[in-house]
Amino acid sequence: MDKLHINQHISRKFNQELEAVRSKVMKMGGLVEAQLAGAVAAMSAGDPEAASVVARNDYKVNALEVEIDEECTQILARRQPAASDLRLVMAVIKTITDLERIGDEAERVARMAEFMGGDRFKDTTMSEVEHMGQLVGQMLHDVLDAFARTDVEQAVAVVQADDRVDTKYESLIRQLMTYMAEDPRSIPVVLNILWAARALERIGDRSRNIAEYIIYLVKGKDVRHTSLQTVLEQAGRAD
Amino acid sequence: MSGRSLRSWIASGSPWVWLNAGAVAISVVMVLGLLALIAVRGLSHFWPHAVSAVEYRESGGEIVSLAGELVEWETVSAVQAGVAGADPGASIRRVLIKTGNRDLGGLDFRWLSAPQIVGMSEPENLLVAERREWGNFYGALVAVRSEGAVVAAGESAWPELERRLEHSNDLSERIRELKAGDIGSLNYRLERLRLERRTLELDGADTPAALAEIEAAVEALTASYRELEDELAALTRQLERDAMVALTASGTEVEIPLSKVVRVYRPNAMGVFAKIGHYLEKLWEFVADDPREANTEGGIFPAIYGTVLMVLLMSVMVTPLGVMAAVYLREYARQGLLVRAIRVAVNNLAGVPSIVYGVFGLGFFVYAVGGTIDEVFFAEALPAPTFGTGGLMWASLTLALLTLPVVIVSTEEGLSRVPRAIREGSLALGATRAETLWRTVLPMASPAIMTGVILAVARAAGEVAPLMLVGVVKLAPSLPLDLNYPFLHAERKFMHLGFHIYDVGFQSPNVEAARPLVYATALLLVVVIVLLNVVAIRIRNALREKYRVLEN
Amino acid sequence: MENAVKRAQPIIGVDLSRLNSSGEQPALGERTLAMETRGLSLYYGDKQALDGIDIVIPERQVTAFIGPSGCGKSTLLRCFNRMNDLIDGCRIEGEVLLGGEDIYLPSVDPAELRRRVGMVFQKPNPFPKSVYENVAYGLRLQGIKKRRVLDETVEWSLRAAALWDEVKDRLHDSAFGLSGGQQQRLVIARAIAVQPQVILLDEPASALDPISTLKIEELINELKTDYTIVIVTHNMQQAARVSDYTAFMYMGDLVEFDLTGTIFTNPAKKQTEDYITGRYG
Repeated sequence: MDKLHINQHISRKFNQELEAVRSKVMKMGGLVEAQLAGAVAAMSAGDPEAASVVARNDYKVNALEVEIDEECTQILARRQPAASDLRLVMAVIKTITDLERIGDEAERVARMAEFMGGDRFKDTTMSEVEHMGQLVGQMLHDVLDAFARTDVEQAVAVVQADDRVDTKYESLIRQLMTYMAEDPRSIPVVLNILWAARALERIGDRSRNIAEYIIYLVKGKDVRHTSLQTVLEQAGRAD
Repeated sequence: MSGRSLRSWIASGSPWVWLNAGAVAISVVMVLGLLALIAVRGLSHFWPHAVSAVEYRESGGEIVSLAGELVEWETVSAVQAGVAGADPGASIRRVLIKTGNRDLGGLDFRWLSAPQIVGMSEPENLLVAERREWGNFYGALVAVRSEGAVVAAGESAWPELERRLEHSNDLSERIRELKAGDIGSLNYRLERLRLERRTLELDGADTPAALAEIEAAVEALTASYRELEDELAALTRQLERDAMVALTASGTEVEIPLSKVVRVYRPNAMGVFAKIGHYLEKLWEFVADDPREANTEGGIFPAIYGTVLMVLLMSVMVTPLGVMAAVYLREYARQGLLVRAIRVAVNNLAGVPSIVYGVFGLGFFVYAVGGTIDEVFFAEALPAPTFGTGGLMWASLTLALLTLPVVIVSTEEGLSRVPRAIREGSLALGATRAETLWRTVLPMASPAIMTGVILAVARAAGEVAPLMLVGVVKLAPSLPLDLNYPFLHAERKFMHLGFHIYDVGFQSPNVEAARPLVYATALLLVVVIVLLNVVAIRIRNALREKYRVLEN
Repeated sequence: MENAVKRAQPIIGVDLSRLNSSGEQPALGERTLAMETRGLSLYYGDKQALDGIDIVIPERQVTAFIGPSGCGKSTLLRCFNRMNDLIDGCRIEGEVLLGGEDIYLPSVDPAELRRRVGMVFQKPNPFPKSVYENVAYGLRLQGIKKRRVLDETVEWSLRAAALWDEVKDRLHDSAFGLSGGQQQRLVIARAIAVQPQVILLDEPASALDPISTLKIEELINELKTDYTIVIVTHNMQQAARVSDYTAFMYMGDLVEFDLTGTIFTNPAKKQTEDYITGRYG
């Protein structure tokens, strides 16, 4: 995060506070990443035990969110940060909201796996879901990495990757709809898988959000709700 | 006290506090002592002291009677007292007695050795007569005469004397008023007419018509002058009618015309209240009356008047000059070497001995400026000088010069203390520098200006040496401010308390009689200076309150 | 966001584009300019205090100058009403325009100029007069003597400075009896009584407590509907709160000038960033 020169404040305590917030975000990111990986693994392995462990662990993520939120409030109240400091705090506040939601989605995936018990649906479909899980897992990993290094290039890459997840999701939906049309008895299971896929797709979206916050943090440009073209422009030009 | 605690006592700073407090205490004691001394010596002079009748054995052996006030006792060595063949180690007590009657005995004070005093008493019938000439008379009343005939004698003489004396004092007062007022005014106008004619002659405009006009005016004035003279003669005749006959201690009978008597009293017969009344009367006379008897008797009103007027005139002259100089130095002049040099010079001026200013005033103001003024404007009076001699104006101007540095320094100080923010605030509202100075800076500096004036007044009122060169006299014929146009006669000579002290104390023919007056005059000088200062300080404090600079 | 703010070229062609890294003119919208400097340099003797300043002051807006001590922001402010003239050895190059005219031309009367460009200083500096006379001071300078005109203007100015209700019962008491914040508002009332076009505020709240500071800030916000306001402040939060435009100065240079919102969220220059976020530059 040296692009932001966090450690150059005249107030060393301010340095420590910002550093603490940042590392807690990384910790929360790591936790969420582990939750997601656990949920996807439990689902693909059909392991309800592991899934329920994941589902139960979500409170840790929530607790971290509350904690970081509180620290950010303190910083805003006491330091009145400006410019990059302000953008960092704003980005952190928004990032942890998205991370918490990602945690929730991971919990949802885990609950699907728990619900399905040991039942295995068609291997091809499951491996599709698993693949999608890996994709969003990678996205999450990359965006956290980009956050850690305030790497705009990587954040842009995450924004781009979201398109691939969306494509994957759409093809999976089509596939699942075909199954439901073919065999109505499979609908409950398919719906479960559908929810899980939906959750994964949302994780992709939220990772993209985080990537956009990183671009805002570094470049000071708000790229939300704009085309990919604009994102590339804003991220690439000014450096 | 052990060494350590002594060290810690020294380190605590207490010794210095004690030292400083001690210095203050000594200063206060000295100032109060000075004031107490002159107050006691000066104020006791007016108390009606008892008159003693003394039987005294002269060195020759014969016994004489004396009457007078005992002034002071002292113990001296017999040799010093002039006792023939006295033991060098022996000392005797002696007393100074004021016997008055200078017209009879020549000396009005003498020392009496205590061993030679045979008897002493304070008979009630002894009286003191303050006279217009020859000092006090001490003796006993025999009779009152009018136009040579005795009108009262014995017991009835005293009330008759008091009654007639009151009448004769009224007459004296009327004569004095007539002389100083109407006749003085007439003389003044006649003198002006004479000068007018002289002017016409000098200008070559002495046409018969103009001369006749003046002549007519002179005629008219002379006529009224004669009338007044007649009135005066009548009053004088009336005044000279009465006389008192008194017996001195030595038994000589003396007739004293009441026209020569200011006041008679019998101190031994007076009660406390009568004495207090007498005391206050004398005190008032001292403050409000003209001096008599070569300044050793009577009041010192002209000196007070001259001192105050001179100081006021000086303030009026020095304040604008000093303020303008300070404003230029502080506000307008480019702060450089030259201004610094001027400032040093001004500060040094404050240290120049005052007599040097007197010499300068005499040489420059009196002779150069005054002489020129006389030649140009008062040629008709020459060779008698008008402004070409010492006078109130030159004295005030000389003292103004003397006190100028004080006013400049103090005003500059005041100007520098006006916060920059105030000036900028005024300028930022569109005021020019002059407007800012006039509307804001000078009012705020006014307490400091007043401080300068206070210091100037204090210094000027006490200054004597330069005045002796530029206009102070021991007895001025008329006050410098009167009812004759143009009212303020700045060219006139005047009297001054400080010079009066010097004159009475050291130039008087009768040193013993004058000594209490020296103290009384000194006390009065201090009082006048204090009053002038109190007034100035009150003005300053009011200004200070009004223009108090914000403390933040 | 980019499109939300209309970008217009300033009416008078001053190139401020060097001030931000994108090379764009600062966003001035459709504003007209009250004042502007062109290549303004100022020297105290041999020492240069301002170095070629080009800045524009938009009309009826609040422009704040921020920067570390000694950066020249107060000096620049004092150039706008020629307050620097009073300092010995102060020399100026370049132009300062008020309504398009150079105020440093010899034909310009500084006193007249200062009537059009008023100033309020760091410490409240009421004159040792009554509240009324303080406000009437500038009017009396202009020779206005009519009681009615004076009364009306004093009341109007005090109302405009949000002080009327507090002092209407003691108009003829000494101004020193007011609190610090009231005194500063009195000084502002005094400045607006002469109806200037521009009001310069030199750290107007630095000697005041926070509540008084807020009142002054609120006053500034109200005054900007009628007056162009330039404020120098050490307090960055204050600049952020009250100003529409902010200029960051450093060592006699104008480093950056832009919309206050931009300066405080995304400054273009690292120097600005370091200063407003409290980093050592």
